[in-house]
Amino acid sequence: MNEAPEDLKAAIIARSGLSYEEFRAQFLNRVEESVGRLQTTMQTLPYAHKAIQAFHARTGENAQPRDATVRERARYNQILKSLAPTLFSDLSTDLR
Amino acid sequence: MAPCHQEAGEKRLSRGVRESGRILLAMKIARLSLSLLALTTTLAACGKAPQAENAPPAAPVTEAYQEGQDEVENIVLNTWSGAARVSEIPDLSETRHPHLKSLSRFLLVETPSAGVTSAYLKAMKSDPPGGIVFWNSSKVGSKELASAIRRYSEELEKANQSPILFSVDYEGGGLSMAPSGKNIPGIQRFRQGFTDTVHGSWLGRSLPQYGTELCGLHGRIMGAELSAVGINYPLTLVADLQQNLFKTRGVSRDANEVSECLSVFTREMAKAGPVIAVTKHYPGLGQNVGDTHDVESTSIAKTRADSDRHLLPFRQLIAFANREGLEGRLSIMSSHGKFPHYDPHHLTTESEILLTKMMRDEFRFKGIRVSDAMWMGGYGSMDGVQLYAVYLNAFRSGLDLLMIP
Repeated sequence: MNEAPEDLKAAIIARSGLSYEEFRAQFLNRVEESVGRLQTTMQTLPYAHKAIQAFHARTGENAQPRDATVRERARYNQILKSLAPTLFSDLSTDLR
Repeated sequence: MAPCHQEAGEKRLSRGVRESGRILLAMKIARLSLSLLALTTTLAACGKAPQAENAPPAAPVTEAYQEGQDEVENIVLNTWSGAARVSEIPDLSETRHPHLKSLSRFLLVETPSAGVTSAYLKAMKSDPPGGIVFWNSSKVGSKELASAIRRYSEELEKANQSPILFSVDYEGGGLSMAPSGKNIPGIQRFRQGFTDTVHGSWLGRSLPQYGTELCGLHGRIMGAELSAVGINYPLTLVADLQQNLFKTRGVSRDANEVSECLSVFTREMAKAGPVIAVTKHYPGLGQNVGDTHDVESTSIAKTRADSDRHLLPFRQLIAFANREGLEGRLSIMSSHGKFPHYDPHHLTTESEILLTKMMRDEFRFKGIRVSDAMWMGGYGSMDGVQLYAVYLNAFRSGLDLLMIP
């Protein structure tokens, strides 16, 4: 059976403070756990290009991301202007 | 993460110096880590400098700068292909295990550009990474970013591969004015086509008068706008207390205020789109001096209780996510710092105590634990074998994704 290269084994043992066998056992357990976490997470997300398509279906083909947050941005900027009128004097609070 | 966290706190470098520093660091790693695939004959080297296939309208760059970008992509591709071939080391990989055909799913790979490269595209179709992070060195806008993500994502689906994470560094600070009145460049990697947002410290400043309203708007705007271009894994607000390097990026010195703000931020981001908020830098870098980009940064907290105060926002945010059914919408980035009150022997990146015993078992965190960029601090000076051992040990210690380089 092929083995991991000796210099890698030595580095792993030095790094982890474990025997190689113990490291390997823990590593395999972690793979199980991480695969589960990643799969669970990814199942909740659409393909990214479908999220992009959904945005354009709602807002138009030429829409920019900021077109989706007109009201939020107006309020966001309004709050900032009230906190620091001079620093944020240029911010727009228009609903467009 | 490489380009983003360089803008740590008030000690920001000028853009030119920052970009140069990034290239130098990347080239240093390149020299030391290109031997990764030479570890064994079973880890075959690959990775030619990728060619832009769908180049965005990039700003003029110097030849040295372009070389730096190519070096970074080479590092990523070498590591990526190495992970894809771990199954060829039977002793390590347990070939009968179906998930160990490739470890590339545990990598969050960075790309300096915001475009599609043929080398990344090829690797992605055969061995997809867990995700890809766009640096946007060329300062392109939403249109180019969406175009690149759409291409990668469509190709994944055509290749019958499951979706991956798409990420950018996006804390805020497109509006660069800090409460101090100083102009401090922020961490909002894309601006054209997006709302300019503020540094985290403004969110804290708003709390007495507006409660968490601004925190919620910050999350809602980011979630809606980033999901519109396909970003689903943005590196967002820091939960570090507003001390030391985080005086501008941090929300507040008060741990409860940070928790309240970030909880609402995370909830509103999740409502706005299919997006996971990545919060940094567990277990709280506000207690450290020294920038983890450059040095081994150790907590200077005098007592365990003081360290616990910095940890509190993470604990409370995890509890909030679990309570509200947002477990899958929160990810936590670990720091490369050392925290002697918890683990005197290891950086967080390789601390089983911090990542597994505390975060997973004690706090019941169910989301993705991601590393900070693996070129940072002492890791950047390691050679191939050492660095590869770090990757494997960091994963064993409890991380789910490693950010490469």
